[in-house]
Amino acid sequence: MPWAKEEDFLELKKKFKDLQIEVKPTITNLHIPKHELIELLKELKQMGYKLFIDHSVVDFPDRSPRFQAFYILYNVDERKRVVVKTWTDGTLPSIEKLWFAGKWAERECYDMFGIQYEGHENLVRAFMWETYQYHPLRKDFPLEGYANEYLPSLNEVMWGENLQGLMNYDRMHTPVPTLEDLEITEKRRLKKKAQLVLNWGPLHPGTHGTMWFLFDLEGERVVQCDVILGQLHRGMEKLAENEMYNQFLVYTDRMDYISALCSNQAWVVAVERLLGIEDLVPEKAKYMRTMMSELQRINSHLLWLGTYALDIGALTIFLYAFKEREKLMDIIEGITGARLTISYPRVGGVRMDLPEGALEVIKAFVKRFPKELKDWETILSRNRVWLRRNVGVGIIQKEDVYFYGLTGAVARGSGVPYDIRKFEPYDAYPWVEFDVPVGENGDVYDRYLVRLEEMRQSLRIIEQCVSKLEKMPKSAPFFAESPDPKKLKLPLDGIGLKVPEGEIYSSGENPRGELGFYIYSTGGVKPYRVKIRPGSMYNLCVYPKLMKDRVIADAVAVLASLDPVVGEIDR
Amino acid sequence: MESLFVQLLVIGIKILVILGVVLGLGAYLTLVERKVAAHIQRRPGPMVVGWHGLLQPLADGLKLITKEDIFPRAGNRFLYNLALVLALVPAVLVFAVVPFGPEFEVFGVKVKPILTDVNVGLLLVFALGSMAVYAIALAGWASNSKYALIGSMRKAGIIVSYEVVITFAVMGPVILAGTLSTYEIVQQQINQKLWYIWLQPIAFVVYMFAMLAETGRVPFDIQEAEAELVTGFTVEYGGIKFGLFPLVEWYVEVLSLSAIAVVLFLGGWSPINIPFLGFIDPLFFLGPLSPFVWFILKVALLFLFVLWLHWTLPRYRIDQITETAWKVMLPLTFVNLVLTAVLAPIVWR
Amino acid sequence: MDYLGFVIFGFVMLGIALLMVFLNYLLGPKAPSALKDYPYECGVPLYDKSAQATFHQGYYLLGLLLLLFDIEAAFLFPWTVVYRYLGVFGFVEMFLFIFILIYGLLYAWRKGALDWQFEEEYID
Repeated sequence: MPWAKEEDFLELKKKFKDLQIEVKPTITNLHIPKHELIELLKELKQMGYKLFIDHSVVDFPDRSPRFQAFYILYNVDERKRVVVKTWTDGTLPSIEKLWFAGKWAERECYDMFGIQYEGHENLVRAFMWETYQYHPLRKDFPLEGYANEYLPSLNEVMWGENLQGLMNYDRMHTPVPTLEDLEITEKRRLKKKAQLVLNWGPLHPGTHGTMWFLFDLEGERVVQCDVILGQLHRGMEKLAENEMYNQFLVYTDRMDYISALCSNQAWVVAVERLLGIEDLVPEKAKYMRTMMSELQRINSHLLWLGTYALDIGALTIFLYAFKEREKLMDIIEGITGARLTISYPRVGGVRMDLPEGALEVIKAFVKRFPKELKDWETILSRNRVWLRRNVGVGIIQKEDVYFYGLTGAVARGSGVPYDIRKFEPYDAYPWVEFDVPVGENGDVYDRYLVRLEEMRQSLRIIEQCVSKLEKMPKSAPFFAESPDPKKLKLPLDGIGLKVPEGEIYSSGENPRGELGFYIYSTGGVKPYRVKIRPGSMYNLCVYPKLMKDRVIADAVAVLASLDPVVGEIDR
Repeated sequence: MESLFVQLLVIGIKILVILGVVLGLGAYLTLVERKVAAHIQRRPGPMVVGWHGLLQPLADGLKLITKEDIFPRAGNRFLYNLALVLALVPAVLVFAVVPFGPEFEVFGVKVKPILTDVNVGLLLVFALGSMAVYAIALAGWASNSKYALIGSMRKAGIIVSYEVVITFAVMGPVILAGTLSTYEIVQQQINQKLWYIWLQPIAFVVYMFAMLAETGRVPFDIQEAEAELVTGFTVEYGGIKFGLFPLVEWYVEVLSLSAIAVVLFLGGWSPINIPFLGFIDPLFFLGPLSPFVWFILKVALLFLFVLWLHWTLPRYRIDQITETAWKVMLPLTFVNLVLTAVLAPIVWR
Repeated sequence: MDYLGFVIFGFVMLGIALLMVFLNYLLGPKAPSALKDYPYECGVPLYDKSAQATFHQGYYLLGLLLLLFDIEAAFLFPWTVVYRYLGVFGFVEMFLFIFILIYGLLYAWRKGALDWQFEEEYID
């Protein structure tokens, strides 16, 4: 576990008298009163904990002060992680000067919990519209929302039909935004200072989902840019508090719906670590999970490559990539029974054994795929048009990676070798060999090359997994045996997983960056609070900066190179 | 009186033929494009409507003409419709000066397979070609949509740059032929036993570049750039109006400019050329039809080349396009012009 | 008389184009609804109601250069046609002309007029 030890903070202890260090096997907490928070964070940043991972609060309605805020930081050079915690009753100092990514996290907290941030430059709602009155993640907000708006059905409005029988449902709903609400939201986000404000998205082919960008244009040059999120907001974190651990697995499919297996794996590993059964999971299951999530990574990168090329105008690559992706989908479908929302891993192993012949199919794919990849590279990598559109566009400096909390291929494209698979290996990753490609200039082209190379490395991992799995006997277990079934049940059917009290932050390397889960458990079958750290969202937060003074044509290239998925951003 | 009647009859037939070729073929070229694209992308393309999708263009057309007529609010209805007229008319009129083959005699009447063989034919082509920018600029402005506006502005930027380039690029062949009449240019190439591409490779390449730019083909298709501007200036058009813009831009204009390229550089209807020695005609068995077949073959070849590029390359950015035009293409045409002026006496021997 | 066909063709095409303009109106269904004619901007409320505002473009200088160079092209075309009868005189004359043209282009290049004009000092 890559958590910082107590001795790392002895110096700090001298400086901050109220600092309490709490070291647990699953987490290292630094408790600090609110007034010293910013000082401590500054100090930590100088100590090397400069990569911002996540920030949110946990709501305890019975306590006073009510909210416990946490800040997760990472030291890339020493590979250590630490959590800073403080208590508040509704106000916190803003950390926007220290980390830009904190700004977005704070907006989310303001939206979901109503926390006021002092010194935040632009405290607007992150997901909900401006005229929405509630803060949904507070514990006193009911799961079904407040039904205070009358929403008749279309049939009723158009033909005056009275619905009867089963159709006669309750027509009271939680509020949905009207056109006026959206207009207020839009005007609140951006103060026009140039010639035109262009709505770019949400229904636009170039935004890769329902993202809503506002471009303030001077000619084609983007003077300022803002993002309005929340088109796909489903309240995953609220749902997580009301679902059992195994049941929440299916929601992770629907977050980053392009790499469901990786998200599943990250969640399952987090729960296993919280339960303390990571070592009980049989080797076979670990290799299978690793192999499957690497297949999924290739699958996801193929979708990225296709849509990226499509955005820059090379339509044919899109179809080539999708053809290969289709084969991968078939492999995944054959093994797991599903193509998109897979939920194959389970807490303790995987859902079922590999079917007959699965490994042969994968081997055939691994053998053929590099040739295809090489073909596409011949079309793109040295193409003059491609180079002119990509090289030198959307440059992210190394320092910005930390400042904006970037992870995944975006961070690696800028030369930061931050890869959870190496830094905090889970499942079979410590036993397989692979390299982490990093870029030099941090431009769009480097990110493109990094992702291409990652596909090759994934193939290497898959090859090793396959040869390992081939040697294993067919009867090898694929699901963990509970050492004491009375104390710890490990059911496959998804019910009754009792998790002890405790908290954990655990993350997995998704194709789109670090997907982390902060789980706060008070014991029982349901988590008390789950904070999902979406890689896509923090990767996206650098976008307004990259787009400043660039033209619209670069907007697609830069956005596609950050590769966000809205399901994960909005959750 | 008799001769005027015959003349009008001949003109009428020619117009019908051109309309058939341009609009009928233009519609069917959509199918060709879809098939070519499909095979480049390893898929079959349209297969359902008719044998191998042969009736697909008809189905598309029928669908387009029975769509609802929608007009964007706060737009300018007159300019909105005028844009369509301005796009369609000049683009098709260019075919009036395209010579499809040599003069032939039918029922004692000598017929040149060109509608108007005027001595400024080439100037007419470029004059009409420049009209396209009005259509697109008006379409973008009248739609009252920002995407349309940006798209049309981009297109105007391209035309501003490549209009000059294309004008200077064609001067080389004109020097060699010593005439601006399209029919005469081909005749000169046959007389001199020389396709001008052999002496004008630079001009040819530059011309092809400019042609891609003027017709908005990849890598210059930034005015519609689906991923950025959705469909650019046509975003507020619907039904057959929406169908006509790409038809004009991508098919009719590509066809007409390809035909002019064939006339200027590839010797029009003449068969395969060995420089200064003569012509070899592997299609001699077609008799008097052979020149027409050669002409169509060459145009088709250029068209397929454009399609090939379209479905392979990514697209440039607007500033890169204009800078290439002024900093690379235009100096190249100047060099070519001087070189041609020096070399031209060899051809006139 | 040469242009007779051209003029007739022009009128025929005008007719066809006008037909195309009204074809949808004649054949299509008519089902108006409140938001059908809302200008496309990705399905959200417009920030600016009108798109017919000032719009800065980077090729304004290029447009001016186009005028100059097109006029010069118009001067060159007659020369290209009769070049073979002019001999050395025509060559030298025109070489000077083209030289001046190239010099003009280089001048514009040097002054940065050929670059895309991003407006530097925008309203802050």
